Amino acid sequence: MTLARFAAGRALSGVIFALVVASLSLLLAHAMADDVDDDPLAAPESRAARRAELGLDRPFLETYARWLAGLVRLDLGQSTRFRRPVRDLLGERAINTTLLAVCALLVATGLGLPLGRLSAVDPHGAGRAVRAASLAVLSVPPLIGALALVLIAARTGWLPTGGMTSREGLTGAAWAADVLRHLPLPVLALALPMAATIERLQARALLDAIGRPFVAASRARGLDADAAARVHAWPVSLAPVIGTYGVLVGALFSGSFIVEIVTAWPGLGRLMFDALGARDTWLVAGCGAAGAVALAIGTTAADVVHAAVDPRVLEAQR
Amino acid sequence: MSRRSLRLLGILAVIAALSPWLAPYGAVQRFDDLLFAPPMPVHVDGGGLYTHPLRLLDRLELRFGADTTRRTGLPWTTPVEVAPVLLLGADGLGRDVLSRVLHGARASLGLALIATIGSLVAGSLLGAWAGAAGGLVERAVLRVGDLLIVLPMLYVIVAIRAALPLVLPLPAVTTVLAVIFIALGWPRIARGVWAIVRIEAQEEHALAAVAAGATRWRVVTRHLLPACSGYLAVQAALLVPGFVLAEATLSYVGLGFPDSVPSWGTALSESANVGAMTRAPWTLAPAAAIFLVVLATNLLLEPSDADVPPPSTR
Repeated sequence: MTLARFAAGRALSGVIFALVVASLSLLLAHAMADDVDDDPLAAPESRAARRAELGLDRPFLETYARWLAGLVRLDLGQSTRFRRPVRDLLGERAINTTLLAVCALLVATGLGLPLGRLSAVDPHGAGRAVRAASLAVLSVPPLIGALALVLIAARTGWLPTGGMTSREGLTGAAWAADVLRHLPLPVLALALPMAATIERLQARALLDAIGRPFVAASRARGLDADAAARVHAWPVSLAPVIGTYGVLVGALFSGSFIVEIVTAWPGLGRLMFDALGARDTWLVAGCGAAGAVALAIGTTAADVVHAAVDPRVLEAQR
Repeated sequence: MSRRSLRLLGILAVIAALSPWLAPYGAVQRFDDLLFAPPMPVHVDGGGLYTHPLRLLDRLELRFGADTTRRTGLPWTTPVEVAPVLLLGADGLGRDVLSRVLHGARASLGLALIATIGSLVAGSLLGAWAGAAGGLVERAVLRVGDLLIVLPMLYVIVAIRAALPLVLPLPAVTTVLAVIFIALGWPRIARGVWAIVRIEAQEEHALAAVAAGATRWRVVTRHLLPACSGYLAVQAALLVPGFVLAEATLSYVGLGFPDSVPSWGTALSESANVGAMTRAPWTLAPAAAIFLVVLATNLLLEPSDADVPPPSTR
């Protein structure tokens, strides 16, 4: 099987996955539309009128068909809470969540890979400290990490404790600088436990690779242990680490929800939470669809990259 | 490793069951003069452990000072009329944080253990069914399971819980949370059990049982599922911290237990605003409790230092 065919297959199942999850989220949103009205004392007629205005008085299948048709035209209806098109809201918030997630993934990789290498190459010196630190950090899930970092930020005043910008109306470089100051806190809360996971995977994979015959062969030709680990074992050990990124993307999503809540980051998770609380049917469905698409893109990309660096993945598909 | 993880679960179950009796004060018992009181340090001398009771210095700024002219014992030995002894300080309503953490352990750990047992039972039954029946059942179970494994668990839990009526009586809340947790916890178990059952069914002892005329149910329960016990023990140790965290997250955002129920999540949600947190960091003690549960699990599943190869002679 060629890489292109593999990628096409993964992309197709990604599309199916996104469609299934988006449909489930519409089903969920439709099911909770029964109490869409925020005023329990309203007359039944005005309730019915409101439901009709929102397009919720139709049978589910008809709503579903219309929503799917709208999805193709990127028209996801109107948000009742924000009184704006769902598409515009999703666009803004998805960028913010993507910024958070991509930064967290980069930080986690940038910390995890070198530290994992250190812990495998020098297991009794610096590696011991790395392992202890990674065990401790691994036990700080994003909820706890975000709370702890907010506490540190509040007591020291080094970083803002929440939000994405300090005030409205900033533009250009001033805006970017302000966002950069708000970014480290949520990114660290998300990235640190993930960095610990990557460190442990990298350490185990590298130890495994160092034990292989081809490394012994390079040692026999006179290469010293460090060079053999760096030049021959390390590239091979990357494949299993990259193979787990598909799972990490899901963990990243779960974690970003609570981090966005704790640090008031205006992302997709917060938006969905607000939408659920306000019984904002179309916004809930839209958030589900956007989340499903993002997740599908993330896992598909991870799978394709894994197949690109590890030919055994393609061979196993035969 | 599986025996160690069973021991950890046993310890957590004992803590969950006994914690209300270990707590020195009631979960909602309030000390009106001790709002946001800091933890009282414990001193040691020849007479044993003692603390100095706190005195309110400034009601407006909520400043406290230790009354060094008096000394009291630990909270379990000191009648509350003499002086409340708050080893971990008090929250914004003047409630003892240590007692709140201990009372909260019952709801948080109890729910996690119920959900874990439920996930194990549902996962092994579905996995064994899929492995033994094959065909359409096998495909359906594995496909649905795969879809659920990929979904981000916290999002799904929050979405499902938020879609249900928000205010429910306590037994209903507990049931709803447990059912949601189990609905998301079973797939990983089912996949593992399915794989083990499929391999184990080719073993001679299973084939012999089939040849001897045992029913399929008997073969599965007596000959195939016992092979999964080690796997299940390790998975149980992985599920518990996940569910503790899920409860904390849900209660933190106001979708878990109602505020009247002490749990680690509800306790965290009360100390959530930055002002309260900065003034009284000790109200984050439930977060430390969650950290300890996760750390205990990670330590348990960690390969020990003995597994690291000895230094090579370079």
